[in-house]
Amino acid sequence: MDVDGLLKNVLDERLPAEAERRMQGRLADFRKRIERPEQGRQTGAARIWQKLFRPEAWLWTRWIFNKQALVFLSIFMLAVGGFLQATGLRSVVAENLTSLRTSVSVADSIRRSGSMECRVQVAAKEGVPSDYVIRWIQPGMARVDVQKPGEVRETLWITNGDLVVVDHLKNMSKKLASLEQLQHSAFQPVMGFLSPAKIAENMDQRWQLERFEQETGSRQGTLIFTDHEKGSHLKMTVDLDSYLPIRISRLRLSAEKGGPAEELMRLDFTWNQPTSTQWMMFPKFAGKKGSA
Amino acid sequence: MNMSKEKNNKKLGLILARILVVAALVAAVVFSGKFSGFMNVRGLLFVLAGSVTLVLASFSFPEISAAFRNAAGVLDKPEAIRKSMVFWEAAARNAWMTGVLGTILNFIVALCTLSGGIADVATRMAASFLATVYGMVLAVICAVPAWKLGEILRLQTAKNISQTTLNPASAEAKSLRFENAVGYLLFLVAISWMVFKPVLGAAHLNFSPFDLIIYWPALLVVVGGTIALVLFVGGDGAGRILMPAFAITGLIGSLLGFIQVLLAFASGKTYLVSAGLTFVIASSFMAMLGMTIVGGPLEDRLVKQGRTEKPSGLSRAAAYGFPLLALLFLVVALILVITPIKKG
Repeated sequence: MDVDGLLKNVLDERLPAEAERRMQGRLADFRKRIERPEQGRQTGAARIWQKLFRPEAWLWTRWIFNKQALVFLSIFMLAVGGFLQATGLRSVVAENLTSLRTSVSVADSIRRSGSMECRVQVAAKEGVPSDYVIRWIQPGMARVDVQKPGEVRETLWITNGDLVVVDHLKNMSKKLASLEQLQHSAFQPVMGFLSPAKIAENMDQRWQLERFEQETGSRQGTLIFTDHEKGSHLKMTVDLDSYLPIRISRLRLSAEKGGPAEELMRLDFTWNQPTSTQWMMFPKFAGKKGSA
Repeated sequence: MNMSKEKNNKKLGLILARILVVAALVAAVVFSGKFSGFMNVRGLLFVLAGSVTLVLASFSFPEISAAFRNAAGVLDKPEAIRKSMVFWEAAARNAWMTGVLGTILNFIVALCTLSGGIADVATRMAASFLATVYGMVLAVICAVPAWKLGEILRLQTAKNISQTTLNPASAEAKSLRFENAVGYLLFLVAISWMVFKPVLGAAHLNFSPFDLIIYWPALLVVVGGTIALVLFVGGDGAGRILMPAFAITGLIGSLLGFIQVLLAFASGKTYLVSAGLTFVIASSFMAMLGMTIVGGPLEDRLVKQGRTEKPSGLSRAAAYGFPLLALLFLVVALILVITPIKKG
């Protein structure tokens, strides 16, 4: 008996073609589910996402990562970046750094100054312009003259905390307890400039720094501030050798943007010049004395 | 089976209770007003949002949930613990880098949106450094589970309970998931919020928010230098070198900026001093941004895919060392800005 032949007939592994195809299909499905277990539960949108972001979907982008192109790109980027930096490309950050550094330096120079003389012109009010001369002689010692065309009307003496106002027209002197009492007097427009320390304090606390402007090659620059309390702008022209202000203009901007600015006040400074103490000589009045 | 589930729930409850107690303490400290000088709400929100979104950019929801489970003491197989450890380590790194990134962004915004006197600007610039403190605290909080899980893994390996072998990359780990894209998107939203809100909120500013964060010379040098370094390394190492490459080019850029500052000081050119400082700050910022949104997530993906067991020493040094240097550069820049120029 042909045992081999008998066994082959009994244990025939060949399946009908249809059954074989169905079985292969099921095996393929099973393999897929093992490899991506979540895919069976995924919604349509998630399937699209998976298809979009599978690595094989992005093979076409390989040309971007061509080595020669990348070498060229990196060299080009380095060269252009270095060139732009060397030519001093303008940037908001650099300009603000410059404004801040200049402003800090100016405030420091003002604080360290020995003496100051400042001539102030205030725009005409009711037809009469006022001029002031502030002489800051040394710490704690200052004199402010109010001048109406041609003559000195009033003088304020500040000597180590003592405040005296002299009215030259009435030949009267008045002792004040504090500077607040001058709020509604003729001295009010120059209250923020009575001493270098006061100007520096305003720069530190009150005036908001806007920007710094400098023309190429010039040894002067302009710091622009906003004084929110008084609703005006301040234009401070600075000498970049001494970092001290040469001129401060208080401006009220017109309602129209970019329109001409109206100058409310102008201060011209002379710094660290020898100042005679004769400015602190108190006048001898034959007239009355009063006190506040 | 039920007992184990009950035990796990108890552990999670305990962790939740601890978090609530800490949150209550933090809230008490914040609302007491005693530490208002140490509060920088924008910095804090940026660090929190940035850290969460960066984690989303690198990991899937199941991986995040498993990491929290493992941190709460519910332990899985060694391979899962290893993945959780990678997650917490990445979260710590992200928190630290987001803190420094937040500081740089806050510094630039404070400098460019001058809203008070000099004293106010200097105070706001100094306060921007608080974001780093928040980032560091969050990094330590995230590092604790990483250390804990690392120790568990070490003990398990020592006992030969199971070998932690690297699995071949699964198809899932190779592709970008939906939550990863959402993470990237939200991180960009967080950065935009930091820069756009103060700039658009100030009426008098005449520049766009992009002018604050895009300084072309630094962008070109950092990206160009990084591409060059990656090309030098080439091959399979290219992905792994991205983090150190960004750090190295950022460092070179910053040093070049400082050299320009010194040369400008010598020649007395004020604007070039500022341009050099801008290059230092912008190079640090660009390098940090590259490390955060490209280097970090790519490295996490490589570890997850099993192509590398853990981040290299160089990469770790870059992730923790460069932000520290960037911070130092920022301090030097702040000192140079608020130090008056002496003449004569």
